[in-house]
Amino acid sequence: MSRRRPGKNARSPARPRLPIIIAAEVNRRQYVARCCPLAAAAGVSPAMDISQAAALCPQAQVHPWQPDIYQPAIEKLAQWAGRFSPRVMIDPTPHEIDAGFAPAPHGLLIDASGMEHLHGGCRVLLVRIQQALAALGFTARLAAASTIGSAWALAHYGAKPIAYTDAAQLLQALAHLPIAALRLPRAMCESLSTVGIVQIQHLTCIPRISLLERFGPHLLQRMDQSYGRVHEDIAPFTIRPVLSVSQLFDGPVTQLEVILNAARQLVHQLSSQLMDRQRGAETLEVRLARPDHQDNIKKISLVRPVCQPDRIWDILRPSLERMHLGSGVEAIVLKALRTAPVKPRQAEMDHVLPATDAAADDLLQLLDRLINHWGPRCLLMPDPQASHIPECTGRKSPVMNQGDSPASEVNWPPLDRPSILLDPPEPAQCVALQPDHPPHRLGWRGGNYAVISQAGPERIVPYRTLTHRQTRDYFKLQLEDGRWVWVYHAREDGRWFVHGLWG
Amino acid sequence: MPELPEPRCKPLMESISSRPPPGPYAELQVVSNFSFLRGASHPEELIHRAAEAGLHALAITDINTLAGVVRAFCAAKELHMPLVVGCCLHMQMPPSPARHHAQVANAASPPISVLVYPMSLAGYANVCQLLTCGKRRTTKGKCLLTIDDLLQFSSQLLAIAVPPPVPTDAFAEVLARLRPAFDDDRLSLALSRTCGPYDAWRDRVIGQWSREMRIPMVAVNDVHYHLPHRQALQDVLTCIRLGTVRSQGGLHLAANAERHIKTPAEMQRLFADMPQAVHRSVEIANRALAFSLDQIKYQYPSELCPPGKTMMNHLVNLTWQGARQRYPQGVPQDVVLRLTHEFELIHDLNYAAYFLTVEDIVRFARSKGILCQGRGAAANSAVCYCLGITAVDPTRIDLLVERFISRQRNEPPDIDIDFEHQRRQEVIDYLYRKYGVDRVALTAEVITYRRRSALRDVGKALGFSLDAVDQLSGAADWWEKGVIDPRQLRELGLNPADPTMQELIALAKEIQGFPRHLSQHVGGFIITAGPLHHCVPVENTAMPGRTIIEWDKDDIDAMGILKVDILALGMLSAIRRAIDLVNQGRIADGKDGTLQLHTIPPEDPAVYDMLCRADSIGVFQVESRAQMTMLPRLKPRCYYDLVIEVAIVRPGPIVGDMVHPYLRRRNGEEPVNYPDEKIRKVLERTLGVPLFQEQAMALVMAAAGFTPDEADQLRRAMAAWKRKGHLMEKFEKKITVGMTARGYSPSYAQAVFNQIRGFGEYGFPESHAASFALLVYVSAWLKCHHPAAFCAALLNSQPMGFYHPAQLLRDAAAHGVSIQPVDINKSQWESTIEYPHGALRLGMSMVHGASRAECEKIIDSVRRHGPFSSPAALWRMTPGIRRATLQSLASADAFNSMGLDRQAAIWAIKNLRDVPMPLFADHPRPSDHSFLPPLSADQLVLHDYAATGFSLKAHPMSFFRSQLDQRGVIPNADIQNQVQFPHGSRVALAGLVLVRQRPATAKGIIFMTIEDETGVANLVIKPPIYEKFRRALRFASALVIKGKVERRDVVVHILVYKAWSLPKLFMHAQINSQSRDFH
Repeated sequence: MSRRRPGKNARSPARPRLPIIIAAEVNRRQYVARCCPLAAAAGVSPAMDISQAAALCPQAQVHPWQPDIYQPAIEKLAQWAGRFSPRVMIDPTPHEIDAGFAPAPHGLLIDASGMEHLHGGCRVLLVRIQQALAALGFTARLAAASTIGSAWALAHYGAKPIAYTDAAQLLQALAHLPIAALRLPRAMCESLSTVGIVQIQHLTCIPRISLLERFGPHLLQRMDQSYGRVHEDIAPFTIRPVLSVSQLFDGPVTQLEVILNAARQLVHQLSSQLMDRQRGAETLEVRLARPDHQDNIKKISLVRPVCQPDRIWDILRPSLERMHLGSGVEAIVLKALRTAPVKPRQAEMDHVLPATDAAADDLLQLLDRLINHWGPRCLLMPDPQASHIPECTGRKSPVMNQGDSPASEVNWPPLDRPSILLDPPEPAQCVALQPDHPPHRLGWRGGNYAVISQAGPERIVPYRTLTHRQTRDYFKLQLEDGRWVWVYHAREDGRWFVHGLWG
Repeated sequence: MPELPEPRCKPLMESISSRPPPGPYAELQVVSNFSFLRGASHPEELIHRAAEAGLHALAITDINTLAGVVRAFCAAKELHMPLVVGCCLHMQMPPSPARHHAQVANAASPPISVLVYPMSLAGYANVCQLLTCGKRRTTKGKCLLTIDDLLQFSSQLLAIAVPPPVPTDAFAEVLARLRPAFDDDRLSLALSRTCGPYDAWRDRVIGQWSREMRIPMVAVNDVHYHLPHRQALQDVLTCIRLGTVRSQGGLHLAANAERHIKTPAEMQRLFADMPQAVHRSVEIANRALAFSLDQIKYQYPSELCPPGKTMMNHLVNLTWQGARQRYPQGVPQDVVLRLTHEFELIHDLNYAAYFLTVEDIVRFARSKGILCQGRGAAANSAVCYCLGITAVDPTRIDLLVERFISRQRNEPPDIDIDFEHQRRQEVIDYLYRKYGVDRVALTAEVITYRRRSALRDVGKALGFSLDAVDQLSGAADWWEKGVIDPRQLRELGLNPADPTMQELIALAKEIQGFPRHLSQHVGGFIITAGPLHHCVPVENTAMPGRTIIEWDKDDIDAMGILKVDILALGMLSAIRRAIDLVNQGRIADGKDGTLQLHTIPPEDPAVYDMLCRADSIGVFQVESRAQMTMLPRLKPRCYYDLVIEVAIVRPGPIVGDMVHPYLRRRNGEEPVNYPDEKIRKVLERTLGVPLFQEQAMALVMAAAGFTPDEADQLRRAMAAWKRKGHLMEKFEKKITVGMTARGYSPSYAQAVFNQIRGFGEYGFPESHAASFALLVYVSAWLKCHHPAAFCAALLNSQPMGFYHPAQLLRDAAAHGVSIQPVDINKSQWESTIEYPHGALRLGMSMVHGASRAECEKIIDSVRRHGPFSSPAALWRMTPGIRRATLQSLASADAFNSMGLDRQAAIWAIKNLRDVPMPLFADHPRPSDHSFLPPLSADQLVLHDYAATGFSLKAHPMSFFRSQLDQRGVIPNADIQNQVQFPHGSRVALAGLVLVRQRPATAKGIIFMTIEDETGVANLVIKPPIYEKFRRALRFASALVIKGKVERRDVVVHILVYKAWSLPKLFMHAQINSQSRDFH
């Protein structure tokens, strides 16, 4: 099943459609994980080197493979497919295009037995599903048959995008399909092809005992499943529930205290549900339902998953207080949209936890409050890098994105760097006797200071590409007022800058 | 003061004249690029820069190696720059009980580095022994040393201890241990000031150590490159070494570019507070300069002659003995004259030991029946012929040994000995046995960065993805042009506007030629009188028991050390096998089986007829496409024609534009005239056109007044033309001036120079050509008279030569050889001839994936039990074979003698049980393979190709013939029809791609050979066409083309103007892996 960019050709028919390639990286090598029909027409195929693909199809757009988006997407689709039958399953068979490095679910199995008549027959049902999928922007191949195996075979290897066969025609419908259509592992297909067995009909002429002796029971099992000689069942997909608690009021409520009290109750309920599952909330959503249907919704992000009611309340409360109540609130709904596992902790023993843990908790709490006040992208944290280049060591990145900070790989004492780095460096006026000697006076921020103590130079070449080179001589200076400043002399143009302060 | 990036070294002469007055500073800590992936300058560059900066002396102290010193030594000699020989020892931290645990925890603690400099020959021997000892105890390319090793070999050495970037207490302990061992003022403490982050602290700590332990400090600058701009490259090298990307290099990359060669004035300014440290460098240098590499003297091994005899006497005796065997009817008078003349020369130059060494090796090979042949400068002497080293009869070819061994230049003679490639190991083992592992080692080969590896490694370090790098280096058509074609880069999926891309190309160009690691030379052995490790460090190779020295072939030449080349030649193996097969056949016919290399009848007209038809597939040296085009034009009729044939199709003569004049003169289309007698004497044999390297040298001696010594310098310059182009320009002037002064016209002088420069590309010495021509004749004779044996021998000697087994077989079949398929009951491991019919029976070695050991078991089992009737019987009677092996053989359709085709055999094999069921063993179920689907003929052929790479059933192209006919595509054989397809007519052809070639001499023109069931066609593709149809021409395994017929004599080329790849269904059976591309 492949998805079109929604509405692309509908909205701008004049723009030519460009081929799309999804590239996966394995061992620093990029491969084609998936490609669109346009790219395939140009000769691109999965598992090909991306550069070879780019040579074959230079105009293609290459997007990175994001393994974690496929499972949620197909789950959503499975959920959606529930409208056709309650028994929907995500196809567990690995597909050959996965090529070992980009596995992803790619199909749905729908048990429509007993449902056909609701739709006016199996064929009509298939067309309906296809149309519904097309409306969502998906191109799909569909097949209906009396067994899972044969429907799978026809959907994957059949000649037509929609196929239907009844039990009587099953043998004939499968006869000319390749043996891979029996959901066999690649190695077995290759082994069979060495004796010239490449189509399903070849297998059916051979005595079962001969096949069993040579290829084992799996082959026979797959054949039997396809022909309906043994039963194969669907394990219906169940939706992982979103934890949700709610409180309905008897009519619109306008008093904030009532709402806050109710919300606090809800937090405790949600929290105990989370704790039962040993999970913590990463994203929460609170909804104040209003009679005018202009519901007030607020999303709350947390730096780390949290399940303790106090912590959740602590973050939630200020948001609630700021929410617009309008002409009253009929209900409060609190959902944990995203959760992640947390380690269980004994609440009663909190006081014996090591102090550092408590401090870290406090910090997290602060961060949670700040990001929900200013937005998750506004809060930056230093992201130390092992580098000689001051700008790199002082790099900052958003709190939400930060993983564990990388440890310096060189086992050297820390570099003597100022605690405050000025960004950008501030111009200064200095006089030095020789190019790599420290200055005697420093004119900076309107003042003019005598230098009473100095160290350096430390020479750093921050940019050393062919086109862009800079050499800086850094000095640590103590000014007459006692402050230590870090200045540098740009060797290319002779200018001086103050780059940092020891606070 | 940091110097701004300057262009490379100034030209030689200028730099000497403008040198500032010598200052009192010697740089003693310098790594060149022989400290692999650390130093970012060639030793020569460092020496040039040191001379330019006016240093008192320069040391080369590569890390745990002396590999770069000879190059530095040669460069220094030229510039009269004092060179200190040294080495930077990286030693493991000594295990001490107190630190034991920390040591275990932190295994990768930084090594202790100490610089050592020999003060005398004995000191030098100590360094060599120390390094050898460290290298022999570990694996290839590594060196494991401890402080104790240094203390053991510390006599006659000066040492400088180099504190680590962050001074540690552990290092102070090391100092305390070194101090007493070097107590007579031979130890110093290095202090560098490179504006690093810890400079002030280091200064303080090191100063304190110096005072406390009374070790004088010496100023060094930790030089990693000659000029600051190389820092960019040094960063990349560091990243390559650590396997990281530059953006993540972090603190491993140097903070600045200070580690270049600084002037004495600059060093004095940096160390203004401690002038004694600067002065100490000069003091150390002066003491170390007492040793120079000149002092190393090579000595021949002494056991070459029986006690009580001189080497010369022994050589003379052996030679006369040999001469009597070579000429049973009596030694001809001119040979006697030549021998006495050569003896005189050998005696004067003291080369007897060298000839005896070679004779000893050849005698051993003969005694074991290993075919061998000498070639090279000294090999075509009468002495070598009599000693049995070569088979080129000196009376058949007029070569004066003096042309190769001159009295004036006292350098070792050069004899390469080729052995059968599969038996060379025995000869090498003999050498180690005879002289002992301490006295024999292989020469090193310095593996340098080439285009591909440079782009790949630099690309990786700059953060390009591997496939992008592969793509870039794989399709580097743009590299030669020097500029990138943006369109082509975009086609490769890369962005040409990216500055990193520009940087990649600039850095890759710079790194090209940098040594990457030491490997073993193909066969250059050094044998010495005393232990080798007194003269040069010896290290292990990947092969156990095999050792290499650290110097390469040029270094050894420069040091005057003897080297014997023991090379492997696939064709010798093939010839020996072919002769064996022919002899077997003769014995089977009841004749004598005594054909030998030297009993092959000479000058057989049938052989030359065959060669003139360009019917030379499989023949040594003349089987390539270029040679096959040349053969009908040159029309060789005698042995010396073959010598010329071998030498003429080389880049040298082609670039020097000598081929066409020679052919015209040979065909009488152009008069042969010589400006004067002197030149006639040099060039008469080759009709006035210099074709051999020796002629180029003789020419400059005769016409431009070069001394033999100068001519030799010219030869060296030619050899290294690519590396140091400026040297040739020097000679250009000398040649043109010298010749005009002697009355030759300036245009003639320029023409001569151009021809000589052509040899720089790759000239072929006459002496080599003479030896090769002999093998050309022998292999051609075998092909002509015993095509089946010849083909079998070639198949058994694979991989070798120019053609795949499929083409060899097709060619043999075309010559009437009956070819029998691989069969489990009839084949041996190697291909054999089945007498008395003389059919060629393919061996099991032709089957992909068949293991030799298991096949031998099957063959043995067949020998003992007779032919088997079923796979089950074979399986029962032959323990220790795997089903996979049988299946590989079955895939090759090798069970026909059991009445089973491929499918049926595999079907049966799949049912073999590890434990046979005793009850049913005798009652097998009736065969059920009749249920299997039948395969079409084309599928059978594709299966053949997958299993063996060829098919005896049909050519794959034949299945397309009817479709091709419909489109007007003609069979390849039809183009031979001159009437139907005259010169200039247009044709459409199709075929499997056999070869893709882009010779460097052909200005980007691609040559391809395609083959169909009727024969081959030679395609010529000009660059614009190649660009236009690149996808088909570069990647397709089968092509359809349209082109114009170009005829010259009997040679037909097709000038392609359109190309398509044959439909995809063709590529399934891995036929695409068959062509040999651009090698």
